[in-house]
Amino acid sequence: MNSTAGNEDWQACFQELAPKLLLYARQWTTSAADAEDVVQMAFVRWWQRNPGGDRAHVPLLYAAVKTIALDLHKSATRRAKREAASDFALPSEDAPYFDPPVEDRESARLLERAVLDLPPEQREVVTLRIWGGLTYAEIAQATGETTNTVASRYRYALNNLHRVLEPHREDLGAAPAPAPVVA
Amino acid sequence: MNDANVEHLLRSLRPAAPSAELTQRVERDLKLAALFRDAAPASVTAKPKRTVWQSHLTWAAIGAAAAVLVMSVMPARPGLPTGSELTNQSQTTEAPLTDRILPVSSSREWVDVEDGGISFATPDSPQRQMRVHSLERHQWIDPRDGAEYTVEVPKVESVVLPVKYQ
Repeated sequence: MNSTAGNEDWQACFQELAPKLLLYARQWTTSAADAEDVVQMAFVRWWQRNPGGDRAHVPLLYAAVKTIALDLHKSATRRAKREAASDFALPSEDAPYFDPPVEDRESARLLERAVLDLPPEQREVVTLRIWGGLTYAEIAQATGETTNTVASRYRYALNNLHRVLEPHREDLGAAPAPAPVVA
Repeated sequence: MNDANVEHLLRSLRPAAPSAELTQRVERDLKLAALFRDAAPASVTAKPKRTVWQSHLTWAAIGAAAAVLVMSVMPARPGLPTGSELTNQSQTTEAPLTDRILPVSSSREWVDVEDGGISFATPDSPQRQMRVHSLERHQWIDPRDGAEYTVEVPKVESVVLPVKYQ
């Protein structure tokens, strides 16, 4: 990486990817601060190996986030057990996962809760697909699953979300989805 | 509400932005990595500060050099590559690891101390024999990919301490 010319490159890449990576990392971390630590480590490693920020390697970045987050989670779990045994407790944190517009805060909370209640493997696929913008093949690469498995999980996740959100249709103000663009 | 509606609702949510501090931390790490990478050749060839434990390594290195010298003057056995052949082969491979890694730290950890009892060098000079077990730990890092190398060397040293009776 050219240290001067590459500086703007990584910043632009990081600004785009960081919120998505942070959301993904929070699935396995107990706090937003831990998730930021994970994203920091994963991005630095990824950028060193991939100085141009080649988008074809983005699935590997998500894979790195998951690996580091799981490692951190294991050590955090061990630490929590030790601290619980010694009358100290981990501070709980409830930082929001999303930045909702003020007027839609209730709807955002409802959606966030529905996503968080999904089984972890379904939530992972939804996160990568909806907010990560990855294709099924890229999600398969990031998670180590087959494309068919990924597609099935996404389908199950949408069904679950549909079932949970349907009673709140009025609150959510569910507008018809925009018509798909036909080339 | 169909699948498209659900996806549309989900996409209306924007993932929370990271803190401004995170960008600074990433920038600091990347600059540090660039510094390591740029400084790697100079640091490896720079003469390191001599410490006590290095005297042991020096002797070990002298011994290894002597062994190589003896092997090089011995007649080559048929079917085995000679020393020069081995050298030529090694030159065609990648640069040696020591040219690519940076020393990070050297530490020494005391593991155990054995009391060997009191002996007398002369009738009026008692001394206590001690055996000190320690572990030297040397670490290097490869700035290109962040790989860490750690070498642990167990050491046993005999120490003699003069004893004074009050």
